[in-house]
Amino acid sequence: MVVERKSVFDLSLFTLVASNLITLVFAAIYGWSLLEIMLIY
Amino acid sequence: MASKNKDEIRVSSAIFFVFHYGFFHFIYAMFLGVFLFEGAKLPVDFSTVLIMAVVFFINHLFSFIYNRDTELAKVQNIGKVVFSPYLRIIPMHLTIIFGMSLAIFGWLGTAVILFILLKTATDALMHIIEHTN
Repeated sequence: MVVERKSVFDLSLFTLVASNLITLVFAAIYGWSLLEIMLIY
Repeated sequence: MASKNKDEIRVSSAIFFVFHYGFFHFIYAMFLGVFLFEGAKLPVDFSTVLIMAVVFFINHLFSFIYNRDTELAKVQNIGKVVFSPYLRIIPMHLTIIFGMSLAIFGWLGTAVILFILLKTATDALMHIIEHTN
């Protein structure tokens, strides 16, 4: 199977960083605790 | 013969990983459990945990579908597969060490930001390691 090689700086890296930043924004707005964030980590 | 050796390496690496990496997370679970149920008994809003779980699940599902064909076509390096998850231990350790100091000064909000930024950096680094060749 021939698969086109993708750059590591791809859409999935973007969504990965975005999902973390969404968490950061939510944590800042709603005051999520460190314990709540560590539980899901 | 060579194939048998490869299989032995795969199995022993998997067993090592389960116990060694599992032990790290067992200690973390104990640590979090003390804060949650014993001692401090800090309040936790599980709807918050669920929202984060959904956000991360959507991201990982997308990443899985997006990278599946490339990953299947690749010959994996057992060392990289076994040891790259250890990067995830760094944010937890650093936050436990420095987060405590920040909490003492009443800057727990800063510890939250520190943890998420460390987690983002680690996730990105793991992604790059995982998807490089």
